[in-house]
Amino acid sequence: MVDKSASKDTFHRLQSVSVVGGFLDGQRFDLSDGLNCVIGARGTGKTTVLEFVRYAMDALPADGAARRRVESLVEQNLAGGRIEVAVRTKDGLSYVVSRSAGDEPVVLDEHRNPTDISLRSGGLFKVDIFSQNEVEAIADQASSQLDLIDNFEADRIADIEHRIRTLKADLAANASKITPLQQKADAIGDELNALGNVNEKLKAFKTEGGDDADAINQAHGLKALRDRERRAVGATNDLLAELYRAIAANVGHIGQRLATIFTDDMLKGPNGSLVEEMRLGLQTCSDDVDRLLRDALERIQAEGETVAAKSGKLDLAHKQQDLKFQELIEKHKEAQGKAAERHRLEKLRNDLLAKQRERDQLLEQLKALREERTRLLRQLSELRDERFGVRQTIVDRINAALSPSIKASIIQFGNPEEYRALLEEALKDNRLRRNVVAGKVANAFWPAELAEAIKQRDTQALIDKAELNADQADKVMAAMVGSQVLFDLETVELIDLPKIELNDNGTLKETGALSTGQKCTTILPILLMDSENPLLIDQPEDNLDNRFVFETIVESIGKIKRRRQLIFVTHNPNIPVLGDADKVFVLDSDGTTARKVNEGTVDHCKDNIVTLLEGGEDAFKRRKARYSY
Amino acid sequence: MTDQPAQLDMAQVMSQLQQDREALDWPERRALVKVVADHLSRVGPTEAALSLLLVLAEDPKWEVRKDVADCLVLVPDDDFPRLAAKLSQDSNLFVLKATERALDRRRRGQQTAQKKRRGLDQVQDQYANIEKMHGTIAAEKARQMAERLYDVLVGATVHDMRNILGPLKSGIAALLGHLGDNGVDAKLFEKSLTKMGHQAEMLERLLEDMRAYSQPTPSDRRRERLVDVVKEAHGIVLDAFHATGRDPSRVRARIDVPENLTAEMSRHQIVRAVCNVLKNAYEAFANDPQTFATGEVCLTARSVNGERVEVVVVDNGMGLSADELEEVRRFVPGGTSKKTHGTGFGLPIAKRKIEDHGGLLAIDSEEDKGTRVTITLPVDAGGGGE
Repeated sequence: MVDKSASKDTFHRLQSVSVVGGFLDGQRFDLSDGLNCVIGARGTGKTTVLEFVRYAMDALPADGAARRRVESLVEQNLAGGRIEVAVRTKDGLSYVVSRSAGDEPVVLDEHRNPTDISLRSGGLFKVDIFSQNEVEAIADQASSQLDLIDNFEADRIADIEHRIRTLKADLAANASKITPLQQKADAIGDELNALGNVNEKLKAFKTEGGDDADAINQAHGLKALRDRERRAVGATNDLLAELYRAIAANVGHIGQRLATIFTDDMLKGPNGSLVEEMRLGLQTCSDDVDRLLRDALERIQAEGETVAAKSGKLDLAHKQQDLKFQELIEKHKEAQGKAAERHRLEKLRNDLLAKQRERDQLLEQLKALREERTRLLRQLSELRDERFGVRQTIVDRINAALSPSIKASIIQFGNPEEYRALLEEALKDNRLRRNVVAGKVANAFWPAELAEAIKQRDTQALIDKAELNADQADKVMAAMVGSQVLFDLETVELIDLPKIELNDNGTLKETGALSTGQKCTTILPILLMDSENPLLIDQPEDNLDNRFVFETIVESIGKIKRRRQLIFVTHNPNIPVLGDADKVFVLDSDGTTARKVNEGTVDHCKDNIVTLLEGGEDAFKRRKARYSY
Repeated sequence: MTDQPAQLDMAQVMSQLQQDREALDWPERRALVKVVADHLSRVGPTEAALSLLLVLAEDPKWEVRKDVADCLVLVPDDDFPRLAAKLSQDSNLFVLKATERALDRRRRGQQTAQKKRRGLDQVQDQYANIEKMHGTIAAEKARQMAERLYDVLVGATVHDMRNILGPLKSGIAALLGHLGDNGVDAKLFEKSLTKMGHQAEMLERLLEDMRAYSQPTPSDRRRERLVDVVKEAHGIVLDAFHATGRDPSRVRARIDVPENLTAEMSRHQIVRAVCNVLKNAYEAFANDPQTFATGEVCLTARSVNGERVEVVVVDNGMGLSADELEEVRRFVPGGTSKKTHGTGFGLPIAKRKIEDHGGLLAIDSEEDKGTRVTITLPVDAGGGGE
């Protein structure tokens, strides 16, 4: 039996599985912390037990077809019933996961009260479940191998992935701010081209001679200044109004939120007085802040009135000055003719100067946004490295445990498919052999580096590094300059690529090139490594010869079954017998329902094992005699 | 930035990095690689720069290592393998790709350099072969012979060039002197400049022939009809005479090549060889630089056992004396021409091109009777050439 004191609180476990309704109605499986084996003839519901656990624990395959297969199997065999799995986390907390056919799983606490724990977001713990053929499928898919690796540090990887997602959202938000600002700044920039021309024309007016030319020039200058002064008053009003709105929006903010933060059950609960104190403090704070905000609003309003009063006086002054200006101009015939045009130009110039200031401000904002972006991108790079670092240590761990028979390695960003696809998409409207060009570019640049080269309009870099011809380089540049894709490039997912190889008599072979049996031989030992998650496999012996089952699987089981819960459906006697199963469940079926006919240790279930797995006592004895052991 | 401080910085930065890799932020370390790259391309490989690159090639941040990989092209041959070995084991795809690219560039660069060296290397290889097959003394003798031949060739060429340059220079001096006199004689100018023009053309021909003689024969062969090749060559020869105002019509040409004869060849080279031989045949009737005596040139061809084709060019012109024939049969350029118009490269070039095709060229001649040149070529390429 399991030595409870030694294994306590180092791994998660499933304690029992109960089924209400359907093919396995009324069956309950009390699981051991060590090795559990489910045996029985074909069609007695062994696989169903495993898939029920998968369904209840919401550990369905990600792949659509496999997922539907499990769902339909569960649907047929549960027939509207319910599955309950009692679990205990490594922290010693007990829960019951209950799932009815067609519903979401619900996690109940030990008093059977519902909790808000969600299984999908990893709220409890992960269960590693592998159906038949799923083990060899891992060998065929790089993405499954990556999952396999990540699984060893699921929490850390999930945490990093979460931070990467947040960061990418920040980067997307940043990009969505940059684009319109840049467009606005560019548009203003185009308008500002007129400024030079206006300045020239005004200068021409100024340099014209004539009587009192100096006085007239000065008068025009002052008239333009008056125009600017009026604009300044307008800008002041806008500024005050903007600030007023922003502050007004925050009045009462804390108070409103308090109502939803501290709910009645907290206030009436055992810590009610403490919570109430906290709430009161915050309420006072809210009142104080609101008062200060209202003061601020009053102050702004007062200033607005002052500005209005002063602006009235300024208007008066302007009128008088305008009158004088008019008089001066009328005295000089030819100046009078030009005054209207000159005045128009001065106004235009003032318009443009205001725009120039606006543009300067935009450029300032853009600069800040770009700096923020650089900082975020740096963090993204560091997070990706952190993720790779974790994976690298896992790979090292696999190698340490399984070398020299299995060799694992991982290349950072070794699968650039998404990057390449993004490039192809970006180039699709151009008459290029885009798959070739995209391939060359993807080979030569990492995405952020490419974005940088495009921003710098460095066509030569495309030619030198990616070995494009001049025409191709021009087209790539034209397709991407100023496009949204430059932002996408900076955040496109770069996928790490693991490689797992089997040492086949001294030759390392990649998993894709292996026979089915060899694939399992390569992947199974990795699945059987240390982990805190329960491991469930449907017929791990599939596709394997008995010698490997005995030498590798049985040995691995012996090593880890005190540190990890194992639940295997099996037809191979070596697994329960030589693995010394702590618990064997024997299933039988009459065709319409299945039931557990026996359970217990290997000794207890010896007769069932011999009958079901060895072909009966007679067969076993005759084999033994034939081998003359 | 001057070079000296950059070097000092590097040594200092390196000791800093060796103590604590994170002493600089990774974007700063990337900038550092740029400084080193700049240093390598402007100043060249210094010990400090290379050691710093080696340290940075093990940087924990892949962007830094990628930048180092991009520098590989600037690293000298001796240091390249160390650095490349490190980077080609990298765990990041983009570092690996950059390293691959640098290796590839280097390989291609070496190929180009090799091509340049190939000519001399081949000579070296030949010596080595001779030494292996015939011993050190034979190889040494061959070397001496080659050197001697080189001396002779250079000597003859220099002699020819001087012969052309001498009149050119004196022509120029005469014209300059004449300019000092009052009243320029246009006719004199025209005469002298025309002469100088001829000499310049002669020099050009000589250089062109030297190039043709020393250039390796292209190795690609295609099957050509012999009659086409001969006719093309004959056309070129006649055109050349007409172009220089010489009328060859008093020389009767008889060309008889069966239509079905073909051979694999580098066409242009064989046309050139036949041209040279035909031209010599015509020249056998040149009684002065501009006119030809009456006579006959006859070109016939036949198949020999279906394996070879034989082309025979016979003229009944002035022929060569026994001494001259002996000289000609050395096939050394320059020295032997009757110097009517030629450079003395014609026959040696023809012989070379033919031999490069695995063929043979033989000459027989008798003074005042005529000359016979026999060319044989294998029908199928396989021998000779480069």
